[in-house]
Amino acid sequence: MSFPFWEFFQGIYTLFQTEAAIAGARIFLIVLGFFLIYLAYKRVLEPLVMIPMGFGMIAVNAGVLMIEATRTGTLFVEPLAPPEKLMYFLQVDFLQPIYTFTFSNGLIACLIFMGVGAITDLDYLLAKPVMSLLLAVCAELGTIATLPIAIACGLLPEEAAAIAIVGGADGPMVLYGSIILAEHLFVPIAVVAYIYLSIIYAGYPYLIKLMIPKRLRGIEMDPFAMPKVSATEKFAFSVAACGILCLLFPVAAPLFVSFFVGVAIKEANILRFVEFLSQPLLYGATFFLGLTLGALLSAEVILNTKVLILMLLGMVALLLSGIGGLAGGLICYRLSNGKFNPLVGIAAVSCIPTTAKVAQKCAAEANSRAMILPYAMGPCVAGVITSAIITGIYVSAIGFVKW
Amino acid sequence: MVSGRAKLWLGGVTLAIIGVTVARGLSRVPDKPALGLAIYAVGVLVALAGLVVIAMGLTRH
Repeated sequence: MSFPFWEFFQGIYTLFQTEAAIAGARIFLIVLGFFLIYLAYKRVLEPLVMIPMGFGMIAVNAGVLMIEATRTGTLFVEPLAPPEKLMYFLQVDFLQPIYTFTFSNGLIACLIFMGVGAITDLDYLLAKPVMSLLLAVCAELGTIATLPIAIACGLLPEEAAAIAIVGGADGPMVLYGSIILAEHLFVPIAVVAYIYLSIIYAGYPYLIKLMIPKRLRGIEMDPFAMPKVSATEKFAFSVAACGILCLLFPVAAPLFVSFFVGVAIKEANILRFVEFLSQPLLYGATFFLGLTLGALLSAEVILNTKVLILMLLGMVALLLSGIGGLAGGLICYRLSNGKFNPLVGIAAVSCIPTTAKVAQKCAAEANSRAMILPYAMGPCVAGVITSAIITGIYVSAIGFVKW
Repeated sequence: MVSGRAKLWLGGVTLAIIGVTVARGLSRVPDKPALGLAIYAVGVLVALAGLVVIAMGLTRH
């Protein structure tokens, strides 16, 4: 039996199964790869690019194998199918992969929620759970009341529910809910929601001044009177809440698990994951959310006759939620015999942490010593959870509502 | 003796289980959608009340 000695060393053997010039160039590039890595390690070259590039050069020139009987290649960038067919089936055009793999399945909302979870502190929610949830429920007035209004305006129950979720003032929730409930309207609904959410900071102070007298806006609350909550307690709550809410609303389970896994990682103090979730993941997802949403907003979308109704209903939803939150704040003010600043109620309109900042800003304008931000953060976080719950209810119960 | 904290925990978990069972199971039993929706809403409220009780149990020192 004749078996060439060289064939025992397949890697080296295949390296030379080509023209001499190409074999020589491969060896040169392998050596150059090592050299680039060395220079990058010594900081002579930029390591961020040169180290991975050097590794790539070594691997692609050393890892040559027989792809077919007579053809050599690598498993790195050699396509197993013609690229034009792959391009066609995977729809690989500029933002298309981001849209296909993260928007059409709601993944982008979940990624943002993971990041939001990793920057959310449950202290204030757990310190005052009843007050926080009471205010959050009041601040869902817009989400609840806009549903029948939208149906009365001629929208289908699914479309009405999708636009009503804007009242929760939570961008990822609106995106997720509208993709599931009314995919054909998700672009205008999401755009309307994000435009309104960005003007909340400027708009809600007028509503506050209209509803709450200055003497009540300046009520001082002792920030040091808040009970302390340990990381273990917050971790345990995030696990329990995730389990119960996933059991209750399986359709919204991806949102709940994304949010609470972020919270749990923060409370477990896994610093590298916290950094990853709260920075590159959150900011990357937010950046591509904005860019892709803008790219989806074509003239055809704007010319849809329902867009005007959606714009009106989105505004109604956020206005009603603000009124509901402030009304909840006034109820808490009465229940506490005048010790509670009703502005805390506006923070329950989710939109973390914008509405809490609005509450603090308006309180400080009325009384420079009023420090209500810690109290406002509890309802603000509770608002995120109640918005997710109402989204879950709408998605789960819309079958019942089809009358 | 069971501590107040443990009582709240157990009470909260029990309420949550009852709520989930009512919302996910019992709400499908009636033929009338309105009745099913009402039972679903009651189940959701009971389960959420359970979650609040668990939160109160966690922070009780």
